[in-house]
Amino acid sequence: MRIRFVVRTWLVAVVVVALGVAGGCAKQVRYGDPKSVETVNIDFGSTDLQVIAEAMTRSLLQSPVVGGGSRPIVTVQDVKNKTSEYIDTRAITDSIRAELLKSGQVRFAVDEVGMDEQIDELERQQSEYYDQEQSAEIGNMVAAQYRLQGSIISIVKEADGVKDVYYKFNLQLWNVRNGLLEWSDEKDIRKTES
Amino acid sequence: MEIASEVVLAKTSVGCLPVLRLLELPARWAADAFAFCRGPLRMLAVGVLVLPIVAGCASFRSYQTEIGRTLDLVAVGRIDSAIKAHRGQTHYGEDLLYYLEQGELLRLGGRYAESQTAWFEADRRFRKWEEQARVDPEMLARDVGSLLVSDRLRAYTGHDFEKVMLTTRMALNHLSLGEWDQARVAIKRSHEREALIARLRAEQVRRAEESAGEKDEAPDFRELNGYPVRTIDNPEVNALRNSYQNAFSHYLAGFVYEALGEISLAAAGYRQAIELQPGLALLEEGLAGLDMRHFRRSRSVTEADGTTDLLLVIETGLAPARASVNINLPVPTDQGLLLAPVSFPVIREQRLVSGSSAVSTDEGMPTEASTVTSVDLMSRRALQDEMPWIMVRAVARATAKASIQRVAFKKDDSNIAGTVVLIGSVLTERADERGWRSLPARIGLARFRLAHGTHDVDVAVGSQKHRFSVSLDGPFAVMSVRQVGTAAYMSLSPGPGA
Repeated sequence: MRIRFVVRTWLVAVVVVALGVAGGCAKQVRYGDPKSVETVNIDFGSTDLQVIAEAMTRSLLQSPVVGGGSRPIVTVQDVKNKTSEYIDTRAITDSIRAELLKSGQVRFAVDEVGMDEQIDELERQQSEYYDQEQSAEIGNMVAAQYRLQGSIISIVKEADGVKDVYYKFNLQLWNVRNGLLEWSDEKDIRKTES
Repeated sequence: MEIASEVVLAKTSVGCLPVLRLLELPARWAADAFAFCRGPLRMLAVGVLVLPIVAGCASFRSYQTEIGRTLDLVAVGRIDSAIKAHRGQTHYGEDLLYYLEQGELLRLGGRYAESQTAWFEADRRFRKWEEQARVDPEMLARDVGSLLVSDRLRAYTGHDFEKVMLTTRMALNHLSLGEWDQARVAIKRSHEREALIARLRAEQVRRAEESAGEKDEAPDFRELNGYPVRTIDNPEVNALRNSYQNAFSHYLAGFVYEALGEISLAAAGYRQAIELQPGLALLEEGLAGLDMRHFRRSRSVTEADGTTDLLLVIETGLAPARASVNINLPVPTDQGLLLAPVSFPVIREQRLVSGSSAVSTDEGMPTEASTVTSVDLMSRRALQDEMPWIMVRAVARATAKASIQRVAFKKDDSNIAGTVVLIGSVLTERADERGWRSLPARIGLARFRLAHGTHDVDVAVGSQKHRFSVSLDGPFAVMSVRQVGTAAYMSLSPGPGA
């Protein structure tokens, strides 16, 4: 009986130690391809952002205003988030702007978001600490010829364990001088989770 | 014997059988060892049997009694004494609950940096829970200690709404310190935490449904005779989308994003708040007026318009306490059914001050701050959601204790072991009463546009009236007023760019 008891005690101890070791296993961290398709969950993700930015940039570059070689000056305005998700639409327009700039076919004027910093810097350069010969003068900022604005909406439906999300991203290029809509395009994305 | 309780036992027992078999084995070994010992060795064995019970004396102590003394001091405005008293309660060690409560007390005392330090510790523990949950969602359901002795021995990982509330309150602390960018970080963590909890709970429900489809229905607390079902199952509680999302956190997110000029994110925050608490004019105006407010601010980019958009947060009361109630359930033994007391947590009805608070300023704009979030209801909803798992564990524990007791009596002729086990099992059968009590019971909001300068803000909650003098000089500010008992505590954030 004593031997049986000792063996049992040891068995329990081995199981406890084994559980402890298993629990203490370290997790692995690895880098991934930022362009690879991300389907961790149905929420708006990096792939959606990239797909929208690429589609909009491609379409804009083919438009008569941008593709005509006149290197128009554009300012980026708000893309309204009409979904219930925390989508940073500025991240989408930043990507579009970066791609358009790389193409060399568009120039960008300071936008509303950067205006405070721009004014602060201009005013700072007027101070006595700067060589006024080299300082930027107030009143020389270049106004935009076009403004880029848009919106993103979503329609979410859920039934019997199936969730369907439809996103529609719309972008528009408006002529500031005459108020004409020069270009507009949409990108749809549909995702289903079950 | 109550028929409803038998139904509950039958349902819970189906899922518990493998666990019970597992538990009976060590019980037999323990009794074998006890029978093997003689004389002084037997006394030593008694000690060994008693030891787990004594070691688990967390299950004897009442958390509510201990934190209650501290909260009594808060209610009469003696916040420094409350902080000191709470630090003196070392019984629970510096665990998660300690840091949660300590952080809240320090915030009330205006010691925001210290409060953040305590809450960072609590957040570190939540993050550990998140990491474990991501890797192994099933581990959340496992805790052998609670099956053997009491739910109180389970490592306290916090209720879901506490996890979300922590980052919201950390954001409030950052705002009190004028750190709007850091508040944004805390708010973003709230979104991520909510998403993770939603995923885990959805997975848990899916598994439970699969399991119920294979075996039997999930246990239902509504069938527990003697349980105050209405306290956690009523229209107000059931109207909540879930236990962890709340309109206040999302409205605050909207306000902070708006203050930082991130309109697309602000819109999402206000929209989520409306979806969680529909029909409140204040929340709807937050979203409807967003574009106009943004337009007005962008027009006055070169010179401030001399006003402050003030968000007034009015918090009242304390989160409800959980108590333990014993209900007799029939437990199967080889000598037939034995009626055993099984403990379940309950949240008693608490008398709260009226749902809305009157607010006025010296610019003559009296308004009503409507309740946008009720932590009281969220706590009840959390308990409602937890009850099936609590019942499974409670019945398994009762059956295991009966099984151990039966084996101990059978193997030991002197009946000492059996008696010790019997006393221990009765003494340790108490439900888990732990919870973040210093959270407010209700959170209300009001929003004003006031000219820069010093203003008197009057807040009336129930019969209590308070006047605060605030100095405003930035485009945005958040003012928090917390009323507990007869005491009121105020915090004002300097706005971004103030």
